[in-house]
Amino acid sequence: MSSRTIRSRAALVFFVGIGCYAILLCNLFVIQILNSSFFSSLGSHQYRLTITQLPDRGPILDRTGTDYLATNRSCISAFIIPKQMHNPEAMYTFLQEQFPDACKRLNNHKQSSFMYIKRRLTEQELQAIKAIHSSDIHLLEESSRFYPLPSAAPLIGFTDIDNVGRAGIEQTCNELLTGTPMKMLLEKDARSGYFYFHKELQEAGTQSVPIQLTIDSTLQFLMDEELAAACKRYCAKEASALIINPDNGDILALSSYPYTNPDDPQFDFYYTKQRAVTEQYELGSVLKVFAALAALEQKIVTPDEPINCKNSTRCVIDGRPITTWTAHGILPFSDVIAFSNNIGIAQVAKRLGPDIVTHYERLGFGKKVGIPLPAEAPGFINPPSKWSAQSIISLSYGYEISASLLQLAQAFSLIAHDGSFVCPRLLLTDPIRISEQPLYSQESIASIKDILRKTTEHGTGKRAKLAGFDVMSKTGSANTLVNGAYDHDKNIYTAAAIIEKGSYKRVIVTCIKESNVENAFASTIAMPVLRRIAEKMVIHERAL
Amino acid sequence: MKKIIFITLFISTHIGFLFLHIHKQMQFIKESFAKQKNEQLLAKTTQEKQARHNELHALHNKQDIKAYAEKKLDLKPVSMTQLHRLPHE
Repeated sequence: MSSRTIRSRAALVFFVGIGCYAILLCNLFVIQILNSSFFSSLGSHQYRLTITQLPDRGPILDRTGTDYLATNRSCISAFIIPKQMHNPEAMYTFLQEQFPDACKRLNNHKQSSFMYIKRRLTEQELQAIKAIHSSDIHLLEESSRFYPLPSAAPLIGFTDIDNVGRAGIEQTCNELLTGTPMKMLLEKDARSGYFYFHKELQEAGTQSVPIQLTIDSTLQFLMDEELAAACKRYCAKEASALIINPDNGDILALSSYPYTNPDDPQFDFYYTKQRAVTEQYELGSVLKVFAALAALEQKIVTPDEPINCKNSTRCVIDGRPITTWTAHGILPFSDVIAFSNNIGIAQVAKRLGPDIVTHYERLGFGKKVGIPLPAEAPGFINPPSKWSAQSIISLSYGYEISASLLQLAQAFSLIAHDGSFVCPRLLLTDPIRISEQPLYSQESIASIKDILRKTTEHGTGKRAKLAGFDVMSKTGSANTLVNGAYDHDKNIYTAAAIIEKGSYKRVIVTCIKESNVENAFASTIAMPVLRRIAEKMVIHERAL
Repeated sequence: MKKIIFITLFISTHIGFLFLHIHKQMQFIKESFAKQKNEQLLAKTTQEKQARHNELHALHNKQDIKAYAEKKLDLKPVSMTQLHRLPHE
């Protein structure tokens, strides 16, 4: 081979080599300079991972701090990756048999990257999934809410499938119960998903906060039992009750029956409301107590002043007809309240005039109490600017004014706390709010307490007597408004009482709605329920 | 000769240091992985503890406890007439 051939071949090899290097350099230029951001982000995705950790939802506890009213439990959810299924036909057959809803969804999302078959599987559903040993179905452990005391459901509320509070305390305290997520950046080996080389905190997040209520779960349970029994006994549509400690405003029990159990698959939204707080009614004669308190405070009547109750169940005052439950002749004012005579209280209220509204407002009627429950009813008082000639008469015995049971209990707490305004509280961490100065004179409070004692001794509250306790009570039976007219077949029976023994004080309010019992009154329906609740309460609280 | 020995020693020392550095990094990663394993075990155990704790509270169903007391233990609710407070001395 000539030296020229060798040189030309060597030059060829050299230029091919140079060409290869040039191609390599071009590629390097494209990768490192032109597309550097794309490849850097690709690398970051492979090596860096941001994980978000949400803290467990905080529990809700009763006042003892040992009984849970809401807690967490793990549940299993099943999902598939439709576009990566190994055996789609078998999957369709299985879903058609066991989860028809999921099958319909799968038909609409055949190419999606993720689809839940069902969240929060029942034990039977989980067994059915495990039995087919399919690699296409993946299981995921999730946290769900559990309520150990179902009867407290209208108060505690519930969460949705994503654990977001949708009613009750779960809704109003959702932020505290949820906390905020913690975000971490992990640098890890691209092949291994298990370990990381470096961990960096991006967002600290906050822990969820347990909520402690003023509710006594045992008392709540005992009260619920009584309400359930009362609904059955009196063929009533609904029953509600609450117990307040007037010394500090703590709501010890707050219940409505029927209730819906959030853990029950047959969930009924109608019964998720805490009706003692969300519903407002014209409560009837139970409000005579506050008309009387206003009259005594204004000194327009004394407890012993004789009032002519016309000895009739019907009479006309200023051209307006008034009916009352039974005829009475001349009664001292205290007995007008004790025997709940509408004609007697109407005459006294006429002397009071529009001031009655100021007193009702001072007692907390017509505005929200402000406890942390959604949809609290503010109540309503017909303002003097909209009054008819009947209004002052109606307002004296609990019509043209609507209130919730909570507002009624709040007003009774004022009497029990010797005239100081006590704001009910539901969260144990909330401050106790009691007015510094009494809103009513001690003389008026003492007089109204005596009148309420008389009501229990020989008036409409006789069934509230509790041996060894000082019981001050009042009842009220009222018709409900249906389509703008009072329906005499649909009544609300309310009873309220202050139970005292030494320093032990409790306010109990009960309400029975729409009973089928003939000739029923609050004194024959609501008061016996109140007494039974009171008996259980004093035994439970060892107040004997 | 001395120059060659010096260069050899210099390179060997550097290779030695490099080896020790790699070894240190390996040990660090190994210990980090062991720590992470323990962290995962701790998280799993804590989760299990929480689950047991929740199960325990789930069993505190007052309805069931009452039914058990009445049916199995033959207990009855107390009424006020059955109770009397002894006077203080």
